[in-house]
Amino acid sequence: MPDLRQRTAPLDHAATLWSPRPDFASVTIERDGWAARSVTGLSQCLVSGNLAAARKAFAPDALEMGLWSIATSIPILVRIARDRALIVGHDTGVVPSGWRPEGFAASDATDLYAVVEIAGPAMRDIVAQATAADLDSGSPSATVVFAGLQALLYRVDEQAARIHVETSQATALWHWLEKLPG
Amino acid sequence: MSGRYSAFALLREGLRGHTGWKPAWRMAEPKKEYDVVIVGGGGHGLATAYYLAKNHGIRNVAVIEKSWLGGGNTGRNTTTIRSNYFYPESVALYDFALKLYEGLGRELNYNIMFSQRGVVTVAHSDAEMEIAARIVNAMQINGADAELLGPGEVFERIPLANAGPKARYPVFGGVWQGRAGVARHDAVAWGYARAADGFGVDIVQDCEVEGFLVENGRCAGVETSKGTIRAGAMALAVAGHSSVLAAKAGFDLPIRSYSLQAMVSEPVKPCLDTVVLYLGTGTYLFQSDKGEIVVGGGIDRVPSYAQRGNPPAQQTIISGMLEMFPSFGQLKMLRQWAGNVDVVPDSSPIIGPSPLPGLYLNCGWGTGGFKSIPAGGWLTAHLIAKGDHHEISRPFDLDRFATGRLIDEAAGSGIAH
Amino acid sequence: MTARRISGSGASLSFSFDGRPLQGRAGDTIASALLASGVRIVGRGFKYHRPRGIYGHWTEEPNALVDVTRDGRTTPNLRATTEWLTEGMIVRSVNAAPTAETDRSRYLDRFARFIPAGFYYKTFLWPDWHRFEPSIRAMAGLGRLDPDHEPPADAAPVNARCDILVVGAGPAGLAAALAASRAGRSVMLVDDRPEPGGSLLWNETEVDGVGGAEWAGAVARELRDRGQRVLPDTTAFGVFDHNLVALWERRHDQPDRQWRVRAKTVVVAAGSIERPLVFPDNDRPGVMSAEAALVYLKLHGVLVGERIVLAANNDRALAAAEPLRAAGAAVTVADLREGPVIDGVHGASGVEAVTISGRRMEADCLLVSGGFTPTVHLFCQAKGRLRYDDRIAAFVPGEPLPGMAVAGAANGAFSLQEALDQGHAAGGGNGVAPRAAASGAPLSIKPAWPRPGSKGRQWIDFQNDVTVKDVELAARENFRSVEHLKRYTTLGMATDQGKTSNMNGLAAMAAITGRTIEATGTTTYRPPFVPVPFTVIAGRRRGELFNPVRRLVLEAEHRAAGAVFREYGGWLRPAWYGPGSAFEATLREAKQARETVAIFDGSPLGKIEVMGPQATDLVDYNSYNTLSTLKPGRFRYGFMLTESGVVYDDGVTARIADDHYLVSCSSGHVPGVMARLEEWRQDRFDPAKIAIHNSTAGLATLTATGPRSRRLLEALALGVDLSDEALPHMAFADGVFDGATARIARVSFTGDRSYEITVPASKAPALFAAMVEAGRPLDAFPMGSEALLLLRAEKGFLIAGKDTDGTTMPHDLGVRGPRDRRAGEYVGKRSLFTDDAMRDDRQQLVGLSVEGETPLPTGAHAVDRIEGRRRSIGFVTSSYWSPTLGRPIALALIRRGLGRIGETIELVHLGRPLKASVTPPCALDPEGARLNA
Repeated sequence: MPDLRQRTAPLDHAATLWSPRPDFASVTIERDGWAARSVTGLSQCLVSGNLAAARKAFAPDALEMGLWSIATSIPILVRIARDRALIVGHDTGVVPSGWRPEGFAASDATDLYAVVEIAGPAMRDIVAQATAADLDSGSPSATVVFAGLQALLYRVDEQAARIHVETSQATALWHWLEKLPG
Repeated sequence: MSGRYSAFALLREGLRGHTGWKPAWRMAEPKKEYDVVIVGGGGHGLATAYYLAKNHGIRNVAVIEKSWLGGGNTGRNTTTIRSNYFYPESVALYDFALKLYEGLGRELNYNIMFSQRGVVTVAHSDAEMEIAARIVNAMQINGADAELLGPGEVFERIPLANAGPKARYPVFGGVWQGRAGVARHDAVAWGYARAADGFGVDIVQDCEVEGFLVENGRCAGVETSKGTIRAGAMALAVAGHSSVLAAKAGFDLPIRSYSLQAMVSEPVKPCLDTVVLYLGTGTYLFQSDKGEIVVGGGIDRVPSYAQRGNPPAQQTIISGMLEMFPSFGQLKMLRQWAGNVDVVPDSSPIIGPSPLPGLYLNCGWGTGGFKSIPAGGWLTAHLIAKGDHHEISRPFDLDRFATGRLIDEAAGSGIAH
Repeated sequence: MTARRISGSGASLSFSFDGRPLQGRAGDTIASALLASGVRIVGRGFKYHRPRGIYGHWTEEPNALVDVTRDGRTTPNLRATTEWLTEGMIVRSVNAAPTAETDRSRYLDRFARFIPAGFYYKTFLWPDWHRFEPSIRAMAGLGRLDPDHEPPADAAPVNARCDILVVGAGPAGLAAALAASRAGRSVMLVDDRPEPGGSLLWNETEVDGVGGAEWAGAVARELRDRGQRVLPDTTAFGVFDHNLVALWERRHDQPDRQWRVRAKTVVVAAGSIERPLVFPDNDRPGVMSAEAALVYLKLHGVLVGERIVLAANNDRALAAAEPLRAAGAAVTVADLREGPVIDGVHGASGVEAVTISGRRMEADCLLVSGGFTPTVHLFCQAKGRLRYDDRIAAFVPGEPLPGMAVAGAANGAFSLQEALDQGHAAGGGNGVAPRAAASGAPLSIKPAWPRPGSKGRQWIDFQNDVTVKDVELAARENFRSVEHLKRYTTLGMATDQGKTSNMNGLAAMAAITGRTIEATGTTTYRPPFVPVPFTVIAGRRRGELFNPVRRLVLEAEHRAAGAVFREYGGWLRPAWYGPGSAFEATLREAKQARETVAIFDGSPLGKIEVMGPQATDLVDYNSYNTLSTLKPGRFRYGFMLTESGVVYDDGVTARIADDHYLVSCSSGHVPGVMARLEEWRQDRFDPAKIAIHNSTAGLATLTATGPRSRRLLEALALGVDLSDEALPHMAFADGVFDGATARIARVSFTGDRSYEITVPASKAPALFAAMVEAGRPLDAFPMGSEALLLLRAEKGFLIAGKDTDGTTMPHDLGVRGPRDRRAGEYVGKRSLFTDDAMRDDRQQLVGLSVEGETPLPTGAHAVDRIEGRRRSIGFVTSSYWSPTLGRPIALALIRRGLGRIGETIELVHLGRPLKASVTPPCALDPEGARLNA
């Protein structure tokens, strides 16, 4: 292992510092009381503006999710702000970006957010380490800072949390989970 | 008033139970009127009074302080003194202060324990080394001492720095200023207070300004908790509360106040011999002469006058320190506090006349107030005594926000100051 | 002192102290094990190096600080009274050599009279402080840092919420937690000891018909059974805004943890701390806190002496006599309420005799109590104000704070029933509080504060060696405020944080200055309540969890292709590929990029979609260059300015449709650009008519650049007309790749023909593979960021933040049109017309050329002389060896630069003079022919 004190020329420090990006299609974590996996294959669409019209256009049956809500089925509309939401699990195919005359904008977000699921009886303890948000009181917006990253947080089950983070930060989230003690 | 300090005096007094020491300053009660009244009994206010007396023979001066002298930012900072700045105007200002600090202990006959152990600002990439080179050259051209260090030279100075393969911010090199260092902050306030008091300056503690007297559009004095005090000229040196006092005087300043936290560890035997700042973490630290590791970093995110700060900023600063010096994970946080820093859009101080004639400003120092105390005092005294700027303070006048002639160190150097 | 173990059982543990092998027991603290072994001298005072023994029993201990080595790793400055003994521990005293008992520096005490508080301010001025500093530093400091011990960053912080957080599981805290739990509230109960009970553990008490300790255990069990959280070994060390309380949980087989608890109500039931009496030589080993003697007896089976003198001014402490007698010690009681005065303590290495009111008594231990100081710290941290209650000679909480209650001894209620009643009420209890067997009268105490003018050396702060005479000296010199007293004498600034010294210190100052104790007041209370390990504060933020970088979707592919990665703008990106040094690889890639076709991953570049009926207005306002005239299907390059008129970022904006733009910006500025667009969207325009979506991470962009780039695109067959008429430079068109939209844009950062292909990120691996495959016959290759930086520099294309600084305005970059001609408002416009903006000697971006083969150092400054004085007129911002031109090139910001083209200027780098000629920024193909080559 190179000791930086011996270094005189630029070295490939990034190789020793940054662990490789995992293969999200297959990677999992199994621990005592909880497990984590990457959830693939979910369609996602970011909408802003007239949310009622957006829901009608893409997922009329979508349940609205806020912080820590439980989504028992898809599609869902995950609230981000008063006038912004993420529609998840719609079946209208890839959404081309743009403004709609009904008064909202949409852009495909299927590849924008990675989705990580943490499940198990100890899930709540893990989440308690990641966020200070008041989960029991919840919030209309599912946005939190999770493990230092901007994220959307809700559940699909009493003991299963789903976290959406930007794809470019999914590796950071994964490493944070992998390095949890115990 | 207090008699000369020396080893001989200690010896003499030691033999008679230290009963002969005089007060360092009088607990003065305010007169009705002075030639000059300075609001703020911190380093800058006390230094201003001292230099008014010493440089200009103006002694009919009062320094009024809301609480106990030196209890504001002067007693809360992390005591670093350096002039490793980018713009010539800044180097002129801070190096003037550094030079004054070099002789200050003897001049004031008070050991301020100025330890010129150097400051190293560490760079972690080629891009940051380019910035470092830019600053070193700027400093050298402007007459301040600076060296560009390679990694080996940095590790020589900070052997305990993180050299592992998982170090988040590897050492590529850095900027070294050898004349920089640290001093005992309280001693600077006390030294100036004692010397100013010795010139006859009244230092009035527990005296809060409640309002300003304005007559014919000019500042004529203050209303205080100890009564009205009239003044021929006045100065504000109340870092952390500049906006509050300015509001009382009827004008606005481009200043917002934030908490700047600092912490110390329990004392250990010497293990860190210089002052270190990492560009990557934003954390800086050194070891005091008492053995405590003193550490600071960026400001808390939310404006506040509370002088305490909150856990998220603490975590950022301390995790930065442990990333830099993993062995310091053996240590414990003994004390934590915060000061209120005046944050100005270009992070440079404001020295000059205020919009209220007769009232001068010395504020906006942000996180750079302690290192500049002697210069701030000297230049403000000059301003009051002459009614005009010293050439070093002219660029820092409030009018620069109208002319656009900002002195934005962070902008120029590429490093947040 | 002949302290010894008299009872109890437990596995035997071996340890050593200052090199001496000793035995302890499971359940011992280091302190109780030392006492059980009869060790008298455990440390030395900081300044005078007088011998010190163990004084207290827990966090208030001022003397017994040790360095502890476990498994070959040493941790300094641990408190022997709060550190549990483990097998094989190597314990050393601090700031004493070779041992605490034989400390070489003990001669310093002979010079004590010459080194009072603050002496160092009065001397060391000649010749220079630096001459003396090394010796002072060497003598300062307590424990020793172990350079080879790097504790891991595994203290995971955890957040929690509850209705009631009860701090302290003594009688008041237990009553509060129980009451709250039974009333149906969620409760967290924390106590810094391993077992609940607090003072119930060492006092003979009965609550609700059972022994106090037993009752405590039952309460804890009931709480746990009901799902409440009971945390032992946990210290609440700080209260922050909005009732956020920070806890330090010590765990034995796992890393410690920090809890951040937000409670609706905090009940401070933290008890009280016994304070010492102040009398001549009260610092001698063998002078101990009376309560500590009880604790050692009850919890550890250690009797602290055989011939004990117990001197106290209050009935609570005097009650310790009986249990000590029952344990076999001869105890002489001096009830100071009745007039006797301690004249002195004899025995330089430890108590041998005590003189009280003229009568000398042989003794091996002097137990003292000057009263009890309520532990109000958390209340005061929350900005609570105190009032002085002279019936109990203590500061107690004054006006209550919303969301916080103080109960029991912390509230000045020293009797057991009062504590139970107050706790029960604080917990919102229904019905009757738990009943103590004894009726419990208030504390009977006669204040025994230090008196000025007393004889002998009387210690107030044992660790920092501050005496009553030092307080007199401070007052004499007008350091009269308690804050000045503290800072001048360092009273209360030792590792015990004044727990046993602050009250005595301020009472002494009050007496000296003729003020009441209330008027004198206390110093500000601040976190932490006890010293907290930095690892607990820092959490897991270390290494790659510290400011983690963003990752490319194609990271695995780049690794497989041999990429060497570096951090750029917060992303981990290929810097170059393949073997060889950075220099060799970069030159190779840059050269080849202009000969064949390079494949570059440009995904991190910002892609921000602005959509809606007012999107055009927002985009125009945000940009220095007019964008509303852009046609759909086209790009335009421009700047975004700050309100000060300074170039914040540069980039291209594409018009997708009338109401749809794609704003590009540098990768590191995406959050900043998003924020400023959002701000103006909400503040200046109608938010219902604009949406801003940051699509950067969802789209991947792969660039093909070089003379063969069109052939590569043709081979990919994306369904787009690639003729220069259909797709000119600065235009884009949509094709298809693997069933998804592929936008092909002709923008160039290299100055060569370039195509940027943008697809959904999930298609990136397939696209990359297809490009590599299609590029094989064209000698295509992957190119890293270092080569790109070189190529763009050959063209004089700037990098915002590298070739601009925080003062650079667009006209400094030669772009004057909008400032001169644009009529409407845009961010930063008026700042372009200030005095400073209009100066004729501003720094401007130019190129520099040199003779010879050595590139200029980046960061070198250009200089001229004014009246003999040298001054900087700018600096080199980018500098490379150009493989295409076969010579060095550079960019620089130079005052009046554009007017100096053709001139030779002087530069300096680290004192070395250099020369260069000023040129236009673009060194290669200024006509731009290579764009269409």
